[in-house]
Amino acid sequence: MRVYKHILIQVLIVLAGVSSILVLRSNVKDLGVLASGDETAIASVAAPLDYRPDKEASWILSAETVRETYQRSLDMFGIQGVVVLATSEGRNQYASGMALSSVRIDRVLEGDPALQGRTIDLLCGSQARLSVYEAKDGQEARLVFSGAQMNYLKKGHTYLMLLDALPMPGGAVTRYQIHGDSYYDLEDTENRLVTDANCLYRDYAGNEVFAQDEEMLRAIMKQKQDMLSYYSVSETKPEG
Amino acid sequence: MLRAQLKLLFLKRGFWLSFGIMLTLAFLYPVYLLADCIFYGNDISFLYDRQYAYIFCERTVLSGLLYLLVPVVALLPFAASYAVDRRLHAYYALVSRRGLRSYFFTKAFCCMLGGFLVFFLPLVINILVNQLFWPVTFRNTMTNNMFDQYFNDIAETLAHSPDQATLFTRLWQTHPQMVNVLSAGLIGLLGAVSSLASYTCSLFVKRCTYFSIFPMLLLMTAGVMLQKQQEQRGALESMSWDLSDYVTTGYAHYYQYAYFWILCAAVILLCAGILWWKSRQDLLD
Repeated sequence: MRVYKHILIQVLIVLAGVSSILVLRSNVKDLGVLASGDETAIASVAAPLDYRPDKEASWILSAETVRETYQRSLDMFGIQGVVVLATSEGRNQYASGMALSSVRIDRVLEGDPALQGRTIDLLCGSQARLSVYEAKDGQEARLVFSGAQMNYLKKGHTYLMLLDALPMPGGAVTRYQIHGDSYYDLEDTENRLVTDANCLYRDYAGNEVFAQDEEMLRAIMKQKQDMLSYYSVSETKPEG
Repeated sequence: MLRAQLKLLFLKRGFWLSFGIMLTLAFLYPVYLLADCIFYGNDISFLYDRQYAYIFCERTVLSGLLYLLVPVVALLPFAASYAVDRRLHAYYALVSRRGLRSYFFTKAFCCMLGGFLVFFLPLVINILVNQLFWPVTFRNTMTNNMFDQYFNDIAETLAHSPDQATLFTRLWQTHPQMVNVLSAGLIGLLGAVSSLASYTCSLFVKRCTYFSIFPMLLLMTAGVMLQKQQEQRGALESMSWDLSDYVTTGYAHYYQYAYFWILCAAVILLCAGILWWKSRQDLLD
């Protein structure tokens, strides 16, 4: 009889716990996807650009180191890598803390050739860290680029991309993710330095990268040029 | 004898009390996380993934406190039963049935079983609750946070420390909740070892049996202090002295587990030796 009494108490604890969780769960905010569309959609969600540089130019890796660490991480996790030229279709989904961008694969330089011509939704490396904070308490919503240098993919622009092919649990689906910040715009883009602490995103929306000084910008551009020459890609849109 | 001791274990108020404490915490932690989301108006899909809602996933005040309370909670199920038997004069009656050795070792087994169950089952319930009630967020469906973090930051990490050991990284990517279950199992083992150590000490403590938690508590806090000193010196080894590093999922993949297993095995062997030596005593002396 005593055991039943104890078991009854444990069951009551479980019921109390589950009911508390259910009540609170129904009141908690579950934002999901914030916005979808092209880059203008995100600019309308969050206007001010809150760029917090936490790196110096010395932190920007050389193109050779990027390739080495890319290969090493593929080996370590036992996954496939793909190097492609891909054009952004401008269809993006932005959620809290991450973004998906739709791209068409123009040419596969390394990896699975079956990807060529396909349109896929990419998990974007920097853009995953580029967080959108919803407006609250009377404050304006803002974009936070915490340490990330890269802007969103631009509609119609072609990029050289280093991708990780991520087998999702179960193995039925493979997701493709840009490896870190390794996507390089083939269009010639002007990059304005972000020197103003209270700037607006729309003023810098045309940038390919965000940098606070010339030295950092030069380091990023050198990485880009070396990477393009390694894969014998020129800064012009490829045909087909 | 084993059946009698098991019956005693499951009838003991201490066992159900410690089980209740752990079960309450297993539900309180998700409740706290949800309340935290509501209080600050945060979006749950941004803040927490399913696997991160596990109590011992990351180092928090609760997980740190609970880790240090392991010897206390592990004592309650059965570790003080020797003293209780002596006090209730049941000791000689039980010993006369099967002998001292059987008495000591069956009790030791029940102590370990009790210590294991009161940690393992509530923590598994915590993992199941997270799995059931946490949302399948936008973030969850695509990838999990750790996986994401690894692939985004790995270029920098590997560039600076290419030989970093990542023991459970692969399992964490594919089945993160299995790593949490593994963590619950290791805490259960720690509870079992702690319970056994307390029981063995209680053979020598005539009064205030609760003092028998101190050897294990000292061992665990010494590990924490030693690791802190090591970190202050900047000597970061692949092995940690702090046992909580092995049972906290977020840290689990960084460390080699030899120290954890050797320490657990050493405590079990030492306790078994003491029990064997104690069981040779002549009751007529």
